[in-house]
Amino acid sequence: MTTMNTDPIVTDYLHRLETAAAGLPTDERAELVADVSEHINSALRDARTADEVTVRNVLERLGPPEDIVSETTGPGSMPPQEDVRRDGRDIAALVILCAGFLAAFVDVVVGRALLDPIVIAALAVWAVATGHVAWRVVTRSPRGYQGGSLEIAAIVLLTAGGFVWAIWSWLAGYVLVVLSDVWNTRDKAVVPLVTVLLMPLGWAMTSPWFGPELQLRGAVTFAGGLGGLLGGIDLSWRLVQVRHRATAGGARRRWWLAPGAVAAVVIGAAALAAGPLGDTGTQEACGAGCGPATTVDQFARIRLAANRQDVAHGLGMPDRTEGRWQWGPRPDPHAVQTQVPPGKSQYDDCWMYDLHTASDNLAHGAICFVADTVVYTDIEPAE
Amino acid sequence: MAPTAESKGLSQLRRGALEYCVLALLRQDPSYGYELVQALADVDGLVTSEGTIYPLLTRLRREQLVATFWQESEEGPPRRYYKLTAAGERALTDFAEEWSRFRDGVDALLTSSGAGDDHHEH
Repeated sequence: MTTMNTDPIVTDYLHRLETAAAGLPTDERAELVADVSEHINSALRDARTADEVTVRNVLERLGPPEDIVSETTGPGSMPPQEDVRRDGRDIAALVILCAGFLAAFVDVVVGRALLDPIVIAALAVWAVATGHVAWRVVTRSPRGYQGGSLEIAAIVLLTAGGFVWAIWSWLAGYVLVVLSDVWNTRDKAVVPLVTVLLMPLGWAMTSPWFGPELQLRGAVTFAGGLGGLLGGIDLSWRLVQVRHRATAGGARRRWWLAPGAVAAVVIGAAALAAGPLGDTGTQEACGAGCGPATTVDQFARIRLAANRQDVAHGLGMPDRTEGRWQWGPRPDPHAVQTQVPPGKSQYDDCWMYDLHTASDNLAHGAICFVADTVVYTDIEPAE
Repeated sequence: MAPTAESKGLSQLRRGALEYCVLALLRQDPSYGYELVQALADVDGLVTSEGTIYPLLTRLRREQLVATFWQESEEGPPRRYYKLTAAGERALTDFAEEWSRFRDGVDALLTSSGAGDDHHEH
């Protein structure tokens, strides 16, 4: 339904219209611009010529963009209950953020006694965003249609939240995305679309060794984490665009922005996977014998580790209701090789664990990977 | 008399009547935006800025007086067509009654005062 108006005068006019319409709901704004754009096309088609005089004449008959936009409100003004509704949604955003943070904190940090720097960083971002949203709700800052606390909360839950609590955080973040006025239907479709598309990859990355149920869970966790991250980056980008259009005098065509954003996402994800998320310690310990792990592979490993309770469950160990897994620092894989079954001389990664209840240590052991496959497990009772 | 005051009053009248003119056009046949604009622009003095028809259509749809649907066109992309809803039909009928009363009243005043002036000059 969108047609290309390549004439710079027309482009400029449509930009002015978009800028003037920044205060309208996204759908109405898009519709208005599409209608006017189609009008110009039809008028020029009728005129059978598109020289400057004709174009200017068509635009003059349309009238100034500002006049067109002011007509949207009609004799009355915008319905005032709109604001009340948005207030309610800000409070919903705050409740979801607070409840999610508490639950994640109790489950991930207290329950699993896990102090992973990435998890801490993600929780810190989560906490800062919660504070920010709370501040906006308390001070009743106007949200407008340019995005505000609700959008920030949604992005934090989808991106940072994924490192803590992939599925729950994804769900909460996506609820907020759907509630938002700033993103249109296309934007709202990206997160679930990317996530669904990543499912087969997640399935392939999770070792079938764990059995279909856990493999499915691994796939969902992987797709939710990475899909939320990529979708969240796209949503942030759209948010920046909307804000830019509303503040500056309309965004000019920047052809390099789309490929630039894609490149930035790819480089960022690669750096993330190779750097703070990557398993650099093990790589060093592995020495020359370890094959270079791909970034996606490493990401899958991280996701697998985030799901380690489930991994342990898959190993046929006591159910999590009977005790808790506490995972210690990763040892040098060569050190673990003293207990290695014959024929297995090299691991890509090993994890040590302690199995304990609130008061007693029950057992400890290790689990080792070659690529994505668990090739060695060991458990022995604590002394 | 200041010409701006007169044109302001006229533009208010025009603005108020325009949406019912749109509804009246749609009573005959569903049409798309550009078609409506052309039909309205043919009526002398009714439309000053053609672009204002589009937000008007959005508003009518928000008020559920018109509904939209998409239809393929021979030339160019598919078009959004507008058609009258039952509520729109009712609003139009009500307005048509009010309007004829209003118009007759105003006409009667305008012509009678004109006749009065003639009489005075005699």
